[in-house]
This record gives sequence, C-alpha cells and structure tokens, in this order.
Amino acid sequence: MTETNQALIQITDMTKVFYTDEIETHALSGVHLSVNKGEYVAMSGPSGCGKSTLLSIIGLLDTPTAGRYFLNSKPVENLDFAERARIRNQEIGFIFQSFNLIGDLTVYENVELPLTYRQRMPSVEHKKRVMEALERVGMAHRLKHYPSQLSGGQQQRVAVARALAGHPSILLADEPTGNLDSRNGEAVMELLANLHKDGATICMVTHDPRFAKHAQREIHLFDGKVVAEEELKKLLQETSA
Amino acid sequence: MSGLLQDLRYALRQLRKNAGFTAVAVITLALGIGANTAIFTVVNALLLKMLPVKDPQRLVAVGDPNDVNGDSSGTPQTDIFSYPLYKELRDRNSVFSGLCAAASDHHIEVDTGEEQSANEKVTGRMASGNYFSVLGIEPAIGRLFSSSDDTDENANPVVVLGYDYWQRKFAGSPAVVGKNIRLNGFPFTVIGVGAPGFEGDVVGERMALFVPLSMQPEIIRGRHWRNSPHDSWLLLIGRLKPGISPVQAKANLNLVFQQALRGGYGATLTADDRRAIANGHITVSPGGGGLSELRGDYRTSLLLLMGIVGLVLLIACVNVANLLFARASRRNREIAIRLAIGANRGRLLRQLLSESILLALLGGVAGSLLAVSGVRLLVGMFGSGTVLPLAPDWRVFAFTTGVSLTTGILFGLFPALQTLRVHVSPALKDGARTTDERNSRFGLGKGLIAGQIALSLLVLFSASLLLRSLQNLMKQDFGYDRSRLVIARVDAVSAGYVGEKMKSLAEELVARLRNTPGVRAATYSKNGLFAGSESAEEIIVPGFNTDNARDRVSREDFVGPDYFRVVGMPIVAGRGIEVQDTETSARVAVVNEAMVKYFFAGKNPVGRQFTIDDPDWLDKPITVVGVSHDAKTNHLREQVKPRFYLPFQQVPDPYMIVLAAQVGGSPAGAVSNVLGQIKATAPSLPISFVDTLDQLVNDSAATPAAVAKLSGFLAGLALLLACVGLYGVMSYNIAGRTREVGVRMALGAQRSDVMGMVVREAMLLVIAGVFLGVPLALLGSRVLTSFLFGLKSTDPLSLIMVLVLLTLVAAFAGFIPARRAAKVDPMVALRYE
Repeated sequence: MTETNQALIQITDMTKVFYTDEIETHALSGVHLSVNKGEYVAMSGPSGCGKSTLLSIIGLLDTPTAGRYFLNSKPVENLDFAERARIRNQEIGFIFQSFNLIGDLTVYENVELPLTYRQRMPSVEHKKRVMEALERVGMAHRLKHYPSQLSGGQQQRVAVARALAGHPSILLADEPTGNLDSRNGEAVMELLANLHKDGATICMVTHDPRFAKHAQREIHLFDGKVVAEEELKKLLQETSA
Repeated sequence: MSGLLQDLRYALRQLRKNAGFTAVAVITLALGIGANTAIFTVVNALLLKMLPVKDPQRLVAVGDPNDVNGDSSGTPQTDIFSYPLYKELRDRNSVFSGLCAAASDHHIEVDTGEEQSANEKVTGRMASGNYFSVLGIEPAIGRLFSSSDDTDENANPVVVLGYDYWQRKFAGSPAVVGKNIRLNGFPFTVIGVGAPGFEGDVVGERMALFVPLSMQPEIIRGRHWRNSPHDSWLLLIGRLKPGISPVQAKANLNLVFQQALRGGYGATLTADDRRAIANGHITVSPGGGGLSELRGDYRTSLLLLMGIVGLVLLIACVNVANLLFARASRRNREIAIRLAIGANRGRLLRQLLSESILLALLGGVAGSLLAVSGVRLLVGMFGSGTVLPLAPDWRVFAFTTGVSLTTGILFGLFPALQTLRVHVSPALKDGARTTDERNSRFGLGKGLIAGQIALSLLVLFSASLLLRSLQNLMKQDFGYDRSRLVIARVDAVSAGYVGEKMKSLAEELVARLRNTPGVRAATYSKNGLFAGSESAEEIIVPGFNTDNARDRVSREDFVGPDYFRVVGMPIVAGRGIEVQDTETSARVAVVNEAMVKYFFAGKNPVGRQFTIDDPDWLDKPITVVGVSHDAKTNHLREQVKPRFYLPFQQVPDPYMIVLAAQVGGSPAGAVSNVLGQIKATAPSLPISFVDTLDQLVNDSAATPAAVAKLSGFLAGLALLLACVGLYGVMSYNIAGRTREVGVRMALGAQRSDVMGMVVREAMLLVIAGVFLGVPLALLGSRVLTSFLFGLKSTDPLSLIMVLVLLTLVAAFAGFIPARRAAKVDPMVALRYE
C-alpha cells in the first residue's frame, strides 16, 4: 500500500492481445511495472517487443485486455473514452517520434492546444503557461512561426513545450529522437534530463542504448514481457543464433 | 496522334480503375449537362430552329409574330391584319417577292366519310393562295393550292393535308388525292399533301390541314371576317427580294400602309378608325423560325432557366474539380515517377486533361440521356396540345459537345496544374505529401466550395423569389370566390345563334343549369372570368375630359341577372344587374371601383350617366345603378382596369356566351354535369371548354408556375451538389488529417471537441460562401424583377429563408465527416503515418 502511494504508475499483470483475422497477437503478457513520482524511466527492447503498446496504455490511448493500472493511485484501466481523454489532457504529456505538430497552427497555437481542451481556464493563464513552456525549451522567439518553418530539432522542442504546457503528472516520450540527427537528438535528451532535474516524471521509449543511459532506470521488454538486462542479452543472442 | 490515343487509353484505364470516383463525377456532370441540354433543346426548338422551308433566312414576319391566335373586331389593328389591309400590303409593296397571310383554327371537325372513323377536331391553317409558294414548299403528293384556289368567299373548297396527319389518318395512301372530306360539315376536296417535315409556320402547333383563306366562313362559322376591314385576324410572312433588308421592308410597308389609309382602304373605315390607326406602325422581324405564341410567352422564362442551369453546371464543375484535387494529391508518386523518367509537364498536362475531358464527355453522354426525360418534363409546362420540333439537331449536338468539352477543361485544368506542382525527390522517397500542409485546410478546394455555396445561394434565392411570387400570385384577392365556380364558354355564333336567338339561348342554358344536381346558382356573360376574351369601348362621361380618345377607353362585359351574386363579386354601392333589366327597360350599368376612381373622381356614381362612343349607342345614355368590387378577370398580374357591366339582354348582339355555375360540392365533380346540360340543351352548340374557375386560373398561371417549380427543382439540385461538394471536401480534408485528429485526442480532446472543430470549419466555409453569395444574389436577382409579383427582388424574408435552409443543410453535410472524425481511434491515427 505504501509502495502504491509512492508510485505514480502502478501496473499489475497487464496483458494486451490484438485480434486480427482470428489470429491472436500477445503484445503484452503479464507486465508488472511501477514508476514513482520524479522518476526518469527508459523502456527499451527490440522492434515489436511491445514498448509502444505499453506506452500507449500508460498514456491511456489504449486499454489493456487484462490487468490493473493505477495512475496517481486511481484505477484507470476501465474508464470510458471521455474520462480517459480528460485524464490525458490533465495528467499526461506526450512527446512523439514524429513531433505531430499541427501544420496550420503556429508554434504558440500548437503549445496552447492541450489547454484549449480544458474547461474554464482563462486566456491569461493560457498565455502564461505557453510562454513558460516555450521559454523552458528555448523556443519563445518563434511564437508566430509555423512548424514547416522550423528544423526537426526545433519542432521536437516545440512538441516538448506542448507536453509541458498542461503541467502533466508524467511525460511520455515515444522515441523522441527517432526523427532527429544525433546533434539534435542529444539536445532533446539534454532537455528531458533538465526537465527531470526540475522534478518531472518521464517515461521514455527508445531502442537506442545511448539515449536510454540518460534515464535513471531502464526497463527491458522482450516479446511483451519485462525482462532483466542480462536475460535480454541472452534472449537476443538466442534469437540471432 | 499516337500520343493522344495513348493518353486516351491511359485515361480510360484510370477511370476504370477508380470506378467510384468515375461514377460520382459522371453522375454529377450528367445532372449539370443534362439539365443544360434539356433546356437548350427547348430553347432550340422554340427560339433557334428554322422552318423546313426554302431559304428560311429570307423570310420575315409582318406584325406581331407572337399573336398567332389573336383576333380583334372593331378598330383595325396593325399587329394583326384584316384581309383588306393584307391585300393592300401584298399588292403595293416593292420589297417582297411574295407576302402571304394565314390564321389558325383549333376546332375543325373532320369527317373523312369512313364509317368506322369517328369525327375528330384538328388544328388547321387558313392561308392565302400564295402561302406555299412564298414559303417554298413542295407537295409530297398531288398539288398545293395557289392564288387561283383563293378567290371568292366559299368558292374554293379544297384542302391540303399535313404530311403527318396524312400518314396518321390515311395511312399515307396516295388515293387520298381527289377524295371528298367534310370540314365542319362542309365538303372539301383533298388536292394534295404537304412536304414531309413541314407542319405549318407556327412553332408549337402541328397543322393537320391547310385551306384557302376564302373558305374562312366555313371554317369559322358565323363570322364573315374575310372581306371586313374591321376584323383583324391574320399574320403575314413575306419573302424578301434579294438585297432587301428587314429594315427596308419595314419602311416600305409603313409607307404603303399610310398610302392605303389615304386611298381606297382608308375609305372603307370610319374617320375615328382612320384616326385611331394613323399612328400605328407595322413591325417586321425575322420570320425564318416561324411564328409562335409560345415564343413570346416563354422566351424570357427559358432564357432565365438557361441562366439558372448554367449556374448549376458551374456548381457541378466545382464538385468534380474538388474530386480531382483530392485525387491529385494521391497521384503525387505516379506523377513524380513520370517526371523522373523524363516526361515534360506539358505532356503530362495533356494526359491529365485527357482524363477530365473524357470524364466530361461521359457526363455529356449520360446527360443527353437524362435530357430526353428532362425535355418531356419541360414540354409539359407548355400544355398538352403543344408540339415542338424537339428532335436533336446539329445545334443540340454542338451545344452538348461544346458544354462537355468546356466543362472538362474548366474542372480539369486547375487540378491538373496542381498535380504537376509535385516535388519529385521527396515524393519518390516516401510518397509523402510535399505540398505545404497548410494547403490542406485553406486550399483552393475550400475556396471553390465557398464559391459554390455563393452560387447555390444565388440559385436558391432566385427560386425562393419565384416560388414566393407564385404564391402571392395565387393567393391574391381576386375580388370574388373562385373556389365554387364552373365556367363554360360556348360558340353560339358559329351554331347560328345571333341577336335575340342568342339571348334566349343564354336564358335557356342558365335555366337548365340551375336545375342541375350540385349547381346552386347559374348566370351568363359575354366575357366572364378567365374565359379568354375581352372587350372595351371608348366612353363619354360628363365631367371627364381628355383630348386623347384612348384615355376614354373602359373595359366592358355584358352580364345576365344575378351575375354578381353567382360569381361572388360584392356590390359595394347600389345594386347589381337584375331580372328587371330587360331589353326594353332603361339602359343601366354596374361599374367597378377602378372606374369610379378613374372616371368619377372617386365619387359615388350611382345615378350618374355615361355614353358609349359608338353610333349605335350615342342616343342611349346609360345610368349607373351600382358599384362592384374590383375583380381580376383574365390575367393574374393585371392591374384592375375601369370596367362597366351592361345587362346582357340590353346589348343588340352579345357575340359570345360564357356560363358560370356556382356549385355546392366539388366544382371538378360538377364539370361533367354542366357539360351534359349544355349538350342536352343545344346538341349542335360548339363548346369551347367547360372547367372549374380554379383550373382556368391555374392554367393562366402555367408559365410562372412552371418557371417557379423548375427553378425550385434546379435550386434543390444546386443545393444538393453544393452540399455533396462540402461533404466531399470536408471528408477528404478530415481523412488527410487523421493524424492531426489523433494528436488532438492524445492531448485530451473529447469527441465533441473534434466534431465541433469539423462542423466549425464547414460552417466557416458556409459563412465565406454567404458573404460572397448575398451580394451576388441581391445583384443577380435584379434580372427577376419582371417575373416577380407582390415582392421585391431584394425580399428579406426570401433571403432569410434561403440562408436558414442553406445553413441547416450545409451543417448536416459537415456533420457527417465530423461524426466520422470523432470516431477516429487516436492509437490508429498516431500509427497512421
């Protein structure tokens, strides 16, 4: 109970099965995971191991087939669409591999977007939060630019600012450096590290060991299961053999 | 050439491959092109087609070519002609190689003498002896009549059959030549058959037979118009001499007319008549297309409809252009490959245009098929007896092909140019969209939709004005209750009833009608209500002074006892015409309110007198005994003119009988009873018609009703097309923004937020369209001014109704893609690319 109170995310025996044309695909099988407040966790593993599925369930974009999921001590695995959307908006900040900025909105409007889905937030507060988030990522000077006028690294920094603007409990980053060159990738990782230093809880999916090292803790997934680092190496060797 | 064939082959393959797209585009174009072709076919038949005669461009119509069925007794006219005036013009002009005259009759009873063949009534043309030679018609068999067959009254009982009638009635038998048939009971000899395809010189009427003008008294019985200078009943067609223009012809004819007035022709007229027509002008207009009453009635309506269907086609083009825009973005990779392997943009443009033109031609073919049914519907608006030369000719073919090709280029060019703007390298790498993403939301497609909504607004507003105008027309105060009346007109003169005999017949008919089951009351008059005849007189009212005799003209009617009560026309002062108003009693009249206002300065005229300015009436002053409420008598749009009502029994020769029966139940049900009673009373009496007054009023509103209904239908089509366009663009737009929707949902957007976003965007387009469309509609509707009744071309209520309708329908069109967008699974959407 004590442990649950400390954990921001508490996942128990989670399973996710996809059904396509009568074929069952077990994306996750009996996953147990706990992420504490202020923790920086990296999830890694080979392609198709279930990293992104797990992140989607954590981000309430998807629901598990079985298992329990507590976010901030509240069960969230069986919520309806509207309630999940509300929690996503208030508790979770997403950073995507392909930035997913909206092309015809300015930098300011992109960052403001999650706030527009909140009820009764005054526009002064919107502005304050947007500027604060953009200043944190060093993009406050590009308020009126459109995404197409920015480099990939700048776009991802704007995406981070958007994730921060809502003051979420946790930042979920899905391969945040995947579409960036190494210099810009390092810059984004440094940004996440600084955010973590300031108290942010971060859960990041990556398959690049260099970036995984930025996290405090690394969780390894293989065939939908959480495995220890040594076990993962062994399994990978067996697979390649 | 081989490149073009290759383009067409490829275009065909592309269209086959995208069957759904092709079907939607072809149906959309077919609706637009079909509507245009249908209207144009009628425009062509009525306004453009030439008569199948020799050198039709050398023919001119003399007089008013629209007044085909007009006749006038009294003061001579110069828009239709008496036979004596025709002779003057024919014999004295120096501009025509020939000038012929003709008039129609629609009730010629033909008895072929065959026992098994029932008599039928047909339309025939009474024509001058030179009719066929002026027009340049050859006989199919036998001979056609000539000037030697058109001599003295009733001296030439010969008939030429129309080719179509000969085929139908006599199975095309050559033995018909020399055969005796009876027309209105009088024996005629068939001398020949007209050329195939020639149905007379009146567009919209198929002539079954032609007889010389000299036979008029046997065709229109009881009237001796042929030699009367006071009966105008003929229209003329002249063949210009080489080198003579219509303007020269007009000048010459008017000179001849003035000379005739001063010569022997003028001597046959009274001084008043000479004065009345001295300032008359004879008009000359192109006559190769024949004469037509329909042309005058429908010309502006058809041109208006042509404008409206043009807008509908434009809307259809925008729809297809938008479909092509949508498809263009999916073809980036294909186009990039073609460019990479060396195709130049001009070549690719030709290929893309081949596809759009092929699409338009397919739409043209489908549209032509639709037009066949459309034309049938359209012709319905002219009435059941109308026969128009609707067979498609080179003009219709050229129009449809031209419209299809123009349409193909119009909707194909911009999407093709957009397609060619692809950036080759990135498109080859991943096929991703390389145009600026901002275009997806504010692109040309959406601009076109706003334009389309603006055009739809114009069409809808026009239709709304016309429909509301029709409603005003039909709901106006007629001045009497028209829902309970049956009207019948009988041609007593042609059955030999004149003078006292006619008056007795009128009384007898009414007495029989009063005893007819379902009939509450009955009466009679000369002109009646919506019975198609009218008369007027110059009058002298003491105290009313004017120099111009035309300002002293008042309409008149001769009515039987109880007329006002039976037709429900209120008497607002004094009394109506009663039984005591006999031939021997004092001359009395009831006048209408318009007459009180105009001739009596609005003061109560009961007890005052006036005189008809006619030698027969000058010594018979008429005392006003009552004032009736103003009433519409023949035309829905007419401003009620001054009118007086005399007792039928006090008029020496009332000329016509129109019966009115007030019924207790359904007037439609009483029609056959009324008809039966008339036949029982006088079996030989020709009955022009028996119908409910409601139906007669509806018939008189046939043109505005048809135009309003057609424009309403076209407006519905425009609205449908615009909404399909809006739906298509929003659907395509949202499909291309699946990832964006996913991102928004990932960031916490509720389904209602997403729906709201899409509907808002759709409504923004509608608002943009409305901003463009309202000024456009207010400007465009000015051309409707002459069609409107009881409202202005800027009628705010019509505009509000249209805006509400457009907004609701557009919101619905935007709601469907919005609902689909709200169903996007954010997980799937984020994996989308």
